[in-house]
Amino acid sequence: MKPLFLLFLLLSSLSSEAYDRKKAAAYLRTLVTQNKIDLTDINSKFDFNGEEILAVEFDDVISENLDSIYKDLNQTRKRQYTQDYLVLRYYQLFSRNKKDNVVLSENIDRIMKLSELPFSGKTIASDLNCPPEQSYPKLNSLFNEIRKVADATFCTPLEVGTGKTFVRLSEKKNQNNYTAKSPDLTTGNYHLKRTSTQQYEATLGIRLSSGKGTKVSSQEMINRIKACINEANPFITGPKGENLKINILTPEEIKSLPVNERPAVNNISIVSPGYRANSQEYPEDISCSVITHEVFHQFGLCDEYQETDPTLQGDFSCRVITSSPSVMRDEGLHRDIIPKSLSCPCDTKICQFFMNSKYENIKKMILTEDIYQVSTKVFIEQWCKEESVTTHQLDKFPKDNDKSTYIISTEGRSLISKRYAPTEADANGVYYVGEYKMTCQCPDGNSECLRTRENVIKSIQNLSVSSYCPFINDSNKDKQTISSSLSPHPTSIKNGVLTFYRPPKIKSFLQPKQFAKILEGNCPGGESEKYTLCSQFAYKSKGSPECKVPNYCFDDSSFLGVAK
Amino acid sequence: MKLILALLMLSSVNAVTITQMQSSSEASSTQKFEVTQKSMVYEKRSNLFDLSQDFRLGEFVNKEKGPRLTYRKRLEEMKKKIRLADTVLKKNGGGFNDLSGNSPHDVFFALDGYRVSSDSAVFEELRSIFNDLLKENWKHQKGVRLDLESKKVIRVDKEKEEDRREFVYLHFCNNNSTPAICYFKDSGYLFLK
Repeated sequence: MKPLFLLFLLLSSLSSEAYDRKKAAAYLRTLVTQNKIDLTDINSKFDFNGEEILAVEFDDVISENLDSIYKDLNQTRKRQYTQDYLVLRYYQLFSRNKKDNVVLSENIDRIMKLSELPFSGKTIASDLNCPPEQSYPKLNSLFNEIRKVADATFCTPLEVGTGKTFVRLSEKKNQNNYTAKSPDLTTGNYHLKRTSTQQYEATLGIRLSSGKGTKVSSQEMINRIKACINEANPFITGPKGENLKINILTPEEIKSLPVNERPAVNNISIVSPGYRANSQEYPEDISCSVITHEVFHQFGLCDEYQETDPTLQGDFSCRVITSSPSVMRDEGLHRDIIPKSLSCPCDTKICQFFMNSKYENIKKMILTEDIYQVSTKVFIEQWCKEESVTTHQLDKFPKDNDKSTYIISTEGRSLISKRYAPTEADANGVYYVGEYKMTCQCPDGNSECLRTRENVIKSIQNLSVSSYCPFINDSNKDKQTISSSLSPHPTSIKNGVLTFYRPPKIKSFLQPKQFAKILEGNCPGGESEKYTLCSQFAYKSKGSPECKVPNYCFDDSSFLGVAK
Repeated sequence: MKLILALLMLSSVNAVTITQMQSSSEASSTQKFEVTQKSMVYEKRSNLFDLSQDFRLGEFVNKEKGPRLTYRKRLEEMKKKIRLADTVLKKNGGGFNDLSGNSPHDVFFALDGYRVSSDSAVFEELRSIFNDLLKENWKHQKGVRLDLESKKVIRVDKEKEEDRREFVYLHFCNNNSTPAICYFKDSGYLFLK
């Protein structure tokens, strides 16, 4: 059996290498000398006698060039090269003759050393901007002393007319080797000025670059970012009514500022539409709500949402998930903050009938949020059931019912509510108001459900104007226009178009400690100290020894400064 | 060596899975293929990155023997190489996944427990297998689909229609986004383009 197996190996190796291996190696060496092949690219191939050959398969040539390959690679690419080399080559040790194995085996040993193994989690931590504080304790101690002195000056609250420039820790640490894509947890690169007692201005520099095949230019994207942030600016307020105005500037615009007011520029790539945005990559179709969320990352704010990507849930499982309104957990908050003017198609029979009817309470009800709007889809789909109860004749529908949702009961872990919605006309052309009963029941100990339930109850007690066009469906949704509007206007219906105004439901994009974080950066002892402590867990895994989340982080009043 | 061979043999008994993870600004997309000795199962949780319009979510099955054996062989071969690399890396205190790109929103494949990032030398080969799998003939076994007019949500179980209900647009879908994102319990997200 064994000789047959060896014969098979020999035959298969003969059939796969129909060229003179020595001559091919010599030719490859020439290509390397003439810089005509890039050995740092593990997939590099060269053409030899009409055959495309993978360079990495030539162990001798790789051996001669291994040091220079690793010298040219940054840490991330070193790790990838090591992984690739082992996948592409290591199995050969089990299927080739011993003579060939010597060089390959040596290469693998050398690669292990050049890759700076063993693993310690240090590299991953540095990618995620979580500097390993435990490294170099003596040096750290000295550094901390120096930092304390510098911080004492830097961390004094700003007087009116003064400013300071925040620098991202990883930029300080290693400006040339910064490759991380997740937000920096310490602080960002920006300049902060206090222009009056209640007014701050933050300058953020953004350098955009287009990715492969992207159609949106850097100019178009910077215009969009500026427009979105300008729209958000009046609503970036602190707990005492302070306002923060964010100025987005290009690198050229930054250069026109006085030297002591120039922050380091943040690099952002424009990527294909549909790609999930992060603080350093904006897809072409990025919306204002996502831009606002991502821009706040540049000020050191961390994510607070439950990661939905199944493979990342583990990586970021230590993250503290908040439940209070926060743009860092729910980008949809944008909808509740920016006041809007909604222009809606109302050319359908049902819309025309109700919106031109005498039933003022029903018209008001149609333009009010319902339980679906104030809840999350997960909550309704997972824990609620809705059933149709009855229909009401319009003339008999109580005149004081002008809301779409009412609470019936909140006993135990349940929430029972009723919802009213206009129905399509029946066969006789008569319209009704349908009544539906929704029963939601949280499982015992399910904190996510219970937290959402509490928020839904509060929201139903305080329903606002709807942020959606009524009677909308997928065929007419493109006819709606939702634009930001700072000036309120009355509801009107004209030429089949319904127009109404939705005032802001929430006053500020930022909770008090998020606001303080931007003013204080990484300074210790301030209002944002607990925020900074709790946010450091956002990109850590539950399995990590660093995942020791203090209990106060799970209380939004401590973490975010939400009023109790 | 014996242990490695034993592990390699053991793997041919169990299923091999290849999962593609992709994300957009609003949601992530997971598509998984499980190739066993008896069948291939395709689990689709989102249509976000579909090349053609397909409003079906859930589990799909293919019981054809020929393609199954080919895919199984291709995936097993890839996994063998990765597992061997993992073995030598583990001797050095880490593993294959420790060296994989870990950018939070980058597309990658999970070949059983191995994370193959887009920078990997074998990523393109896996993508080719994945794309070939997508082209196979899949029968909708369990999940949801929209009817042709997108007015009804049809629940499917054991390849049969279980029930139909009104597709209440504002209930299922996030009206503010383009494309609209519609969530279906236990099945995933449909993006209406």
